[in-house]
Amino acid sequence: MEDILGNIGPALNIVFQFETFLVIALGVLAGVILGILPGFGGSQALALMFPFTFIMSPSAAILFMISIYSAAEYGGSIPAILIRTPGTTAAAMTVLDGYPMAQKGDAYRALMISITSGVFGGIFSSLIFIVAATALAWVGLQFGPSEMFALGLLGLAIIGSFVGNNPTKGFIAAGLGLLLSTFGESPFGAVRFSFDLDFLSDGIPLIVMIIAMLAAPEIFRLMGLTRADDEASIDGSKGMLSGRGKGFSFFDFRKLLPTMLRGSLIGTFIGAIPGPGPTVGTVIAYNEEKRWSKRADQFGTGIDEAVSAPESANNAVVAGAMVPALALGIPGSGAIAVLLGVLVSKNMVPGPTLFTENGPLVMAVFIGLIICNIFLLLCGILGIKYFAKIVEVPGRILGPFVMVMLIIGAYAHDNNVAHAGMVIVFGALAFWMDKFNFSTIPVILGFVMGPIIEQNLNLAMVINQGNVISMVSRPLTIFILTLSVITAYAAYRRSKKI
Amino acid sequence: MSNWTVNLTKADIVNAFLLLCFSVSGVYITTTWLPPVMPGDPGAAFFPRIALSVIFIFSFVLFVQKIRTRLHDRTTSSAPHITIDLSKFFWTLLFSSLLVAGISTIGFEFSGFLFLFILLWQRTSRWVWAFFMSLSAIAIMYLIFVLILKVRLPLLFLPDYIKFF
Repeated sequence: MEDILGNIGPALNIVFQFETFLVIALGVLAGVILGILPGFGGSQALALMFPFTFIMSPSAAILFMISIYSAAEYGGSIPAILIRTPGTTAAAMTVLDGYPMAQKGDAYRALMISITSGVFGGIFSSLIFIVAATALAWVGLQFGPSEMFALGLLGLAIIGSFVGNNPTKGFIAAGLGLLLSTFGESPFGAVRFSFDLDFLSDGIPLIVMIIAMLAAPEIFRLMGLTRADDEASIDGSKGMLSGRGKGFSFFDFRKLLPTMLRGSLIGTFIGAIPGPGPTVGTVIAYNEEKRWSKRADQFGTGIDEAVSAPESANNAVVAGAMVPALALGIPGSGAIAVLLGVLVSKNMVPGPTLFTENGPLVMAVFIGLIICNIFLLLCGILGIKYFAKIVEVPGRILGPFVMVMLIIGAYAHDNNVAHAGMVIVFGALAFWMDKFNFSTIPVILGFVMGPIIEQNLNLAMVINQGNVISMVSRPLTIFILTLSVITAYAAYRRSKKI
Repeated sequence: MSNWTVNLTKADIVNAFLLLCFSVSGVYITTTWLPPVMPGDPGAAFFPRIALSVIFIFSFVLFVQKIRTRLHDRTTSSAPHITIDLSKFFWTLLFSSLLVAGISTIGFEFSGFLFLFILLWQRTSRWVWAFFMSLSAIAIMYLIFVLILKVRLPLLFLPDYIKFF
C-alpha cells in the first residue's frame, strides 16, 4: 500500500502533461473511429497505430495505445446499436438489446447507456487495479486449464437463455457454433474440415462469423426493403431525434449503477485471467445480469440493463487485462500482446520487475486510463447526436452501403477476399436460420466459447493423463462447473416460461 | 409474386433430416484424421465429435418432435406457415456475390461503384443522385481503408498509396 501511495505522486506528474493529454485525446478519437469500422477490433487498431509510438516517450506511447484500445472497444458498440453490425467482436452482446432499443426509437438512450456504462467500467476497473493489482494478478494465475475449461462452459451455459420457445433448435445452433469453431488448423495435430481449400485451413475468423450471423440477416432485410416499407417505418425511427424517444437522465444512471458494478467486476475479473478477453467478458456479464434481473424475460427485447452490463464489462476488461500483462508479462489477448510490444520497444520488460523498476509508469497507465475514459465520455456524448443521424437514412438506401462496408470489413480483417465470401455464405445461412426459427445467437456463443473449451479441455486431459475425475476435482473447477449447471438450468427454466 | 409459403413443421422435418445426415458425414470425416499419440491427449477429432453429437442428438429430438406434431396437424389442420420472398433473397445473394467476385477481378473501386450505383438507381430512380452518391462513397472508403488504414484492397486503376510530400 505504501508503494502505491509513493508511486501516485510521480505518476500524476507523468500524466498531467500537455503531451500526455494530447496523445490520450488523439488515441480516443482514433480508437472510436477504428472501432466503428467492421473488421477493426482492438488488436487491429493497435497494430495499425503502433508505428506512431516510435516518436513518443514511453509513457505517452503506452497511454496512446491504451486509449486506442479502450476507445475501440466502445466504438464497436455504436454500429452494433444503430445498424446491428458490431464493429468489434465484444460488441456482439450489445446488439441483442441495443438494436431493439434503436428500433423502438431509443437509439439515443441506448448510445448514452453504452457510453456511460463503458466509461464507468473503465474507471472502476482502473481504480480496482490501483488498489489491488498484485492480488488480482495472483487470482488470475490460479486459473489452470481445468478452470479455463469450466469457465468456457460457464460462458456457454447462457445458451439456455437464447433458445426461445424451441430449446432443441437452440442447442442444434450451439452445436453448429462449436463445430464451426473447430474448422482449420488445429493445435492438436490436424487440419480439420478444410476440404482441401486453402482459405479454410486457417479456420473461420470470429469477426466474419459475428458479421455473418448477427449483421447479415438484417442486411438481407434492408436490401429487400421498398420505398413503401421505408415510408411506413421512417416515422418511428425519427422519434428519438425529434425528442420523442426516451432520454437518459441522472436518475437512469443511478438506477443502472448496480448493473454497472456487476458488469465492471465481471469485466475486471475476466480481464485479469489470461486468455478469455472482452468478448467472453461481455457474454458472462450479460448472462449474469439476466440471472440477477427481475425482468429477465424481457432481455433481448431492448432493455437498459442488457445494454449496460456487457458495455461496462467490455471496458472493464481493458484495465483488468493489463494486470497479468504488466505484473507477469502474460499477454491475455492479441491486443495486449501489441501493448506489451510497445513496452518492449521502449526497452521495458513486462513482468514483476516492472512494478519495482517503473512503479510510477505502471501507476500512470491506470491513472491515464481514468483520464482516457473521461475523454471517451466527452467524445461519446458530443458525438452521439451525429452517430444517431444514421437512423434517419431510409433502410433501402442504407442497405447497399452497409453491405459494401461489411464486405470490406471482412476483407480488411486479414486482406483475404475469401473472408468476404464467407460473410455472404454464412450470412445466407443465418438468413435461413432466422426464417426457420433457429436463433443465431447460440451459434456465436458456441463459436466464441468453443476454442476456449477445446484447448483447455485437451490440455487438462493431457496434464491429468486422460483422468477426467482428477481434472474436474479441483475446488475452483468444481465451483465454476456447479455455477455453470445452475446457470444453464435457470436459463432453460426461464426460457420455457417465456 | 415470388413468395414461397412453406409449412414450418414440414420444413423442420426436412431440416432435422438434413442435419442428421450432416452430423453423420461429419463424424465420418473425423475418422480419417490421425489418432492422438500422446498419453491422455484426446486428439484433434475429440471436440468436433462432441459438437457433432450435440447436433445429432438434438436433430433427432427435433425430427421426432416434428413428426409427432405433423401427425397431430393432419387431424387439426393448424400447422404454422412462413412466407419468404425468394426473389429478394436471391437478388441480394447474387449482387453481394458479384461484388465479392468483382473485388478480386475488376478491383474494389469499380465493382463497389457499380454495386452501389445499380442498387441506388434501382431504389431511388434518380440516376444522377445515385451516380454521385456512389462515387463519393467509394472515394471515402478508398481514402479511409486504402490510403489511411493501408488495407490492401485489390484496385483497378487507383494507386494503393499516395505520397503527399
